[in-house]
Amino acid sequence: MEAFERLLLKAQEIINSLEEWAERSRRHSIYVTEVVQSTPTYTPEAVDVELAEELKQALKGIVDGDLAAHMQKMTAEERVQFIEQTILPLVASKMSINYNKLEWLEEESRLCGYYNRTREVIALNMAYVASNDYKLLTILLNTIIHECKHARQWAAVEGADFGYSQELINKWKRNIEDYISPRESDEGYVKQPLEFDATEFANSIIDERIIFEK
Amino acid sequence: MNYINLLNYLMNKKGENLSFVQAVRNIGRIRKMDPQIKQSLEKFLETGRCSHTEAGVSFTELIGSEGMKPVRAFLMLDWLKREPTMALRYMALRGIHADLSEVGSAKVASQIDEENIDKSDI
Repeated sequence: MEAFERLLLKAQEIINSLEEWAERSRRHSIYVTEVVQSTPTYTPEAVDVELAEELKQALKGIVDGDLAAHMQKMTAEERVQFIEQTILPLVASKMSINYNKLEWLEEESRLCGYYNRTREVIALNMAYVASNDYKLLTILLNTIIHECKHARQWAAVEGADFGYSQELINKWKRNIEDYISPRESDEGYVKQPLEFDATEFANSIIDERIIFEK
Repeated sequence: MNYINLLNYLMNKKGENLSFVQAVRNIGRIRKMDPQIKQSLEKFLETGRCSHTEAGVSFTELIGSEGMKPVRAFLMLDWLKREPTMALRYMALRGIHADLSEVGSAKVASQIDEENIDKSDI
C-alpha cells in the first residue's frame, strides 16, 4: 500500500511538471503572437529623451559634424584607438553602464557586436573598422549605442535606478522571460520591447537607416 | 490547406524537423497568414516548388542566399506583404545586431578561450 502511495505521489509530480511546462509553452506562444500582431511605435520616456540629447551633445563635443565621416579619414589602427579610448568610454559613461573591456571579434558573419552581461564585455567586429566605408562605420557607431542600451536595460531590470517607469521595466522583464529569437520569428524579434527600444534609441542618435540612402 | 499534411511536414526530419509543440505553434501562425501566401505554401508542400515574390524578395532567395527554412521563408513573405518597409529594413540589417539568445560563439581576435564565452550575450 505504501509503495502504491509513493507511485501516486510520483505520478502527481509528473502531472505537475507536465502542466507547468505546458503552461510555460502556452504563455510563450501567446506572448509571441501578441508581439507579432503589435505595431510598436517609439515613445521614449523622459529619461531616454534627455539621455539621447546628452549623448548627441557629448558626441558633438568630440567632432562637430558627422562622426562616421570623421572616422573615414583615419587609418584602421586610429579607428580602433578612437573607439577604445574615446567613443566607447564616453557612451558607456553617459549611459551609466559598466563594462570591463572591449573585445574585437574576427567574425565571419555580418554580426557587428554584442554585450555580454556576465563578463561585462562589449565585443565588436573588426571588419567594421577595417574599412573606411561610411555605411559600415555608421552601423558600427549605431551598434555601440544599441549594445550599451541592452546593457542599460539589463541593469534597470536588475534594479539600477535610471528613472524608468515600473511599467517599462516590467515590459523588459517580461520580454527577458520570453525573448523571441529570429529563428522563432523574424517579425517577433524586431518588434519585441528589448530590441525595438535598443534599435530606436540608437537610431535617434546615430541613424543606421542612412544605409538605405544613395 | 491540409493541416495534417502540414503537421507531418513540420515534424518530418526531411521537412522542418520540429517538435510537436513547435509544429503546432507554427501552424497557429500559418493559419493567420495571407491567403495567397498560404496557397503558395500549399503548392510548395505538394510540388516542392514556389515562385512567390513579395516586395521584390523571392521565396527562392530567402531559402537560398538567406538560408531560411521554408516555413520561416513563408512567414517572412507574409510580413513583407503586410509591412514591406519594416520587413525590408530588417532584411537589410539582419544579423548585424546580436540576438540576445544566441551570440557567444563569435571568435575573438585576441584568441581568448572560447569555452569561457557563455551564452549570456545581448
